Amino acid sequence: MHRVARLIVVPGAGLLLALGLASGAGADERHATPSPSAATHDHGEHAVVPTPSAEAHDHGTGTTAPAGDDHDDSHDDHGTGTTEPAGGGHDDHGTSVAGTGPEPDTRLLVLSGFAAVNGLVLMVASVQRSRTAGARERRRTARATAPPAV
Amino acid sequence: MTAPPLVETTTDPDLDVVPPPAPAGYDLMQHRVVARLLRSRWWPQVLQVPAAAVFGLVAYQLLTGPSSAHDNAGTALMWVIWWPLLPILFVVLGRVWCTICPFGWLSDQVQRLVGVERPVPRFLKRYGIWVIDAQFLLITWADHVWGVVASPWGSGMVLLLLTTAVIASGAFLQRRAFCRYLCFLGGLSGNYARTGAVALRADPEICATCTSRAACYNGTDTTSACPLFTFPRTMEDSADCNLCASCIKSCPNDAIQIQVRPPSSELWHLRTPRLEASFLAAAIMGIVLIQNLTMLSVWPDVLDAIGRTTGITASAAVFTMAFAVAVAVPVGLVALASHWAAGRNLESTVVNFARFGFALIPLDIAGHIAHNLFHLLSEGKAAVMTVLGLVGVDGSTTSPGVASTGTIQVLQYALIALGTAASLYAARRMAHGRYRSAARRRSTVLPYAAVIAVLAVLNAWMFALPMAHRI
Repeated sequence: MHRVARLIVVPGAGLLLALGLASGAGADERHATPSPSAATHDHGEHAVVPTPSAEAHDHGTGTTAPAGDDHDDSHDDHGTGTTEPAGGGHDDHGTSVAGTGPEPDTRLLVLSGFAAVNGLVLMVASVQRSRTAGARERRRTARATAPPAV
Repeated sequence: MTAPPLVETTTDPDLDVVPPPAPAGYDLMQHRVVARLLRSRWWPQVLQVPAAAVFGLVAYQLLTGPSSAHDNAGTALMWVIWWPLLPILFVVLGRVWCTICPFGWLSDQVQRLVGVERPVPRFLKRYGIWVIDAQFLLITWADHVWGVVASPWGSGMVLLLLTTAVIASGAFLQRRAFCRYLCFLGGLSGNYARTGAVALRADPEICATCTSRAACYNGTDTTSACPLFTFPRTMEDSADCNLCASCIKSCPNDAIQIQVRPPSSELWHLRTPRLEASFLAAAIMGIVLIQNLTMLSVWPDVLDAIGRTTGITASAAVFTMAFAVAVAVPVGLVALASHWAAGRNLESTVVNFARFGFALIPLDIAGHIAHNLFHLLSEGKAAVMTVLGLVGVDGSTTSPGVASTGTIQVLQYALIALGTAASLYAARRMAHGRYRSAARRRSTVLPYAAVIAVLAVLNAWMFALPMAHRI
């Protein structure tokens, strides 16, 4: 059972850490600052008005969302805000906002890191491949000479 | 090899341990064009190459393109076009995406170059689906907490992490071990593929006379082995078949058929349902619910209510609670129905869950497609314009969608109705295939029908509310 836990927890923690590192900065900025794209992100039904962040996330009715909401701004006040009755359909959609992403140096660092890890994996596998050629050949021969499947 | 089946032999005279075999459907291999295509050395490369090219463009755009999801062609291609089309493909052609998936192709290339080809660890064979279940939940949770879909860079990171995992798996393990045992999308597509309208099966009469040493499984000098470790002769479901046609090329007796069947019919012919796959079916329903909920205008109110009730202010913690509840609701409802049924059909709760949890899959797919249909039809034009912007075409458009709100809603309700009907029918057929007495059938179908109805109403209610766009 310990192996089970390890195999789930270790890659899971790695995945979370990487995702958090990779998108955390961008997500924070997305939530806190007005994104140029958010202001111009109009689906054809709303006026394109560059506004401060709170207004930028008000999709539809023009009501201003209270600034400083502690939940994800990308989900703020979707659609019609608070004034339109439910069931109004999908015609007044919100704008998902996008992050600015990390700095170019950080991007380069992360991409280099991935390249290095992948390169290392390929190198180790390459060395092991030459060492285990005999075992692979034995397995192949065993398969070829095995009795027919029943 | 995998976890033992939950359904054992029994002396209960009212129980059909082995459900009736699925009738052989029309064999598409009788069509010369289909047979030639699948036997051709160009299959599946003819689809893999363009898919790999598009994948390269998507990855490049996500990692180096505009930071705004709305302006990023990678986000548009990945989340507004590809992701919504994917479940539709599963219903029509089963797991065929996995055969053209660039990650599978990458795994093959790495294996060819440096593959050590170690046997898949027993742990993965036994618990791989649970790892997939956990990953699927984790990735969905991470998406909402860190905004992976809304951030091109975040989406790019997911692709890079998957790339590294695929390279490692291809380098050290046999065949496409990652696709079979670790890929969360593979787990999803495996579950959805059970409803596919086509299925690869071997002709048992021809196989009984075969002397080829399982060429369909092991491959030959000129064709590769089954990438997903499936032996056509004994396969009973399509969860682990990606229609790569390797077995068709290897089989010296032309015993492999591509059968057309009624969508979802596999669900009531399953002999060895597995709890982990059934759990995934229920968890996916929870994921569909939370995906819908987070895009509704009522979502901030839900979060506020949770925050007020619990006193928790951290948004990630509040979301985690909502996420846990959303996933727990369908899982809990199916568990409850299984417990209720167990008291009446004289089988254990676990056996009931493993078998009848599969009945949720058609409704899962319907909810999944209906949700994504909104993105595809209401943002599709904007997404295409964003992609066309890469080649200098003016990306401005007066309307981002290709269908009106009313049309989309009608389609969504139709899909939910269809999914509900298919789920109810599947539950009924499963009970009828398994029990002989009317009372036992009725007491089994009833609780699951109630769960399906509750989940259908929940889905329908959500599609009535205004929803936010993805890009």
